[in-house]
Amino acid sequence: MNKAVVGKEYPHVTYELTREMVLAYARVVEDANPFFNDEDAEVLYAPHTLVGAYTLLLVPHIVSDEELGLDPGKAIIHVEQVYEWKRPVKAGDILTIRGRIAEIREEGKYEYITFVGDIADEEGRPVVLARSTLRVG
Amino acid sequence: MRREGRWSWQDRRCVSAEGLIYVTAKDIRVGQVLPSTTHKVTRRNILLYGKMVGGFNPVHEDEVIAEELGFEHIIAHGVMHLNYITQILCDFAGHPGGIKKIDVELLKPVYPDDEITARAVIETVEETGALLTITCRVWSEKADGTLVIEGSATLEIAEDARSRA
Repeated sequence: MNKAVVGKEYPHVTYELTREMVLAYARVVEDANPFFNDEDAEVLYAPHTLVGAYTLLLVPHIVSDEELGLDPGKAIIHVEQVYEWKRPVKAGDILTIRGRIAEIREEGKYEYITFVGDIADEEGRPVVLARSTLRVG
Repeated sequence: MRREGRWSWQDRRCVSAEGLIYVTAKDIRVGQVLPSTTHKVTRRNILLYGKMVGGFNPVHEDEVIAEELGFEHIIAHGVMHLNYITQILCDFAGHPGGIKKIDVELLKPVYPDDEITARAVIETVEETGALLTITCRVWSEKADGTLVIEGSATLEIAEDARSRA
């Protein structure tokens, strides 16, 4: 991979977190906590990794970035993850993800790429910081 | 999903496998083991999860490619089973706002039919006014004890939220 692209930012992605997404996500991760499952609740909170899952939406941009030169034929595995939640995420939130490449390194036969997703709400206040490392090779 | 210990959402009390009832700060202590959960990972959930996150990676979807790349089967998304850990932390904190940070390494691939147990133990407790800051060692493992995820987490719990019982 081309280390010159460290610092590169990817186009912002904005999405609205719907109640349907939250309920479907809670089912698939088998999280039975009523905070994430009560359809009639005034506030329906999102399971903690949901917003992080959306930072995965950055990955296709990264994988297909010719300037970066990641070989999509190799195994791409998620090996490290940090999330910092500034506030709980809930259905109805309109969130914008700004993604950038933070680090590229080599170790043995593998290459590692770390990217950071800054997730903010409509007012631009930080909601979650996600730092993800993928192993390629 | 199996759960050790019992929970009551109405009064935010927890009775752990050890029989402790957590109601105030003084009941939260270093070395305390949080109630664990065990999930059996299914192929269906892996495929569903892939659809939800945009399905870009064949190791989560295509058995043939996964094997060619050296895996036994398709592998579960790390973020999917990382939620097994945030789940026990959130259950303990009593509110989704109680988890501040998690920092983990994903050590081994998780396959369909693996049974994954999520665990956490309290390492530090710091009291600032009515706010407790708790750090935990967190991990998950397969039925044979293989470590899958390992790392740390930070919780913040307001004392009044835990003593409302």
